[in-house]
Amino acid sequence: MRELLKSKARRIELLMALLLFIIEGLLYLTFRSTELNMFRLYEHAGPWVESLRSWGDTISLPQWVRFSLPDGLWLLSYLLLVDAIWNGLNKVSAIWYFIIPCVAFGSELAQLFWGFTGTYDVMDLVCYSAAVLTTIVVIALKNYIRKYISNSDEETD
Amino acid sequence: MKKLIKTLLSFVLAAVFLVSACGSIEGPEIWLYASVICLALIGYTVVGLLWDRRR
Repeated sequence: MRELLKSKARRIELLMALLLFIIEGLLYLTFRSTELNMFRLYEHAGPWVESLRSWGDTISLPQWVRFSLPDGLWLLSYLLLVDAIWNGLNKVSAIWYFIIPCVAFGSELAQLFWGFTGTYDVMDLVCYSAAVLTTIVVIALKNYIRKYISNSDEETD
Repeated sequence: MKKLIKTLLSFVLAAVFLVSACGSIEGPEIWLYASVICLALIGYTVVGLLWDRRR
């Protein structure tokens, strides 16, 4: 039962992470400036990017959804994937859990204090923090369910 | 999953996310910073794996 749950939880995490990464990518492609480095790759992607962007012009979304939410989704997607690989924080896995959040928060703070490339926005920090909090909740929930199942396994034995 | 596979998967994942972060920023100089972080991660991964093998 525990193994089944473990693999099921891992599969759900993987699916969620991939979905979030795709949504984040689509938000970038639809709403962000074509000056970004990614658009050099998409120059050759064909007309679908253009149609996506012209569709994006017709809908209005809050600024934070266009500019900050994708960053939060990107970080959450990474953290869920790392958790699917390592299944919990420990001494060995800690570096992989922390490296990309450090880069994310660090780049935002570098934009604020040292004029690092990009635009500082406090909502970016809020979305990054929300991604980290969501991951903590997911890990805590997984641990709780694991404990509950192992207790019920012991009772049936 | 073995620790070696997990470490290698994590490295690939971190590299992919670093590259995607570079895609979401303007200007070429960001690739330099990302390359430095990637090299540091390669160093950490290789040294960590060799250390484990020695033990």
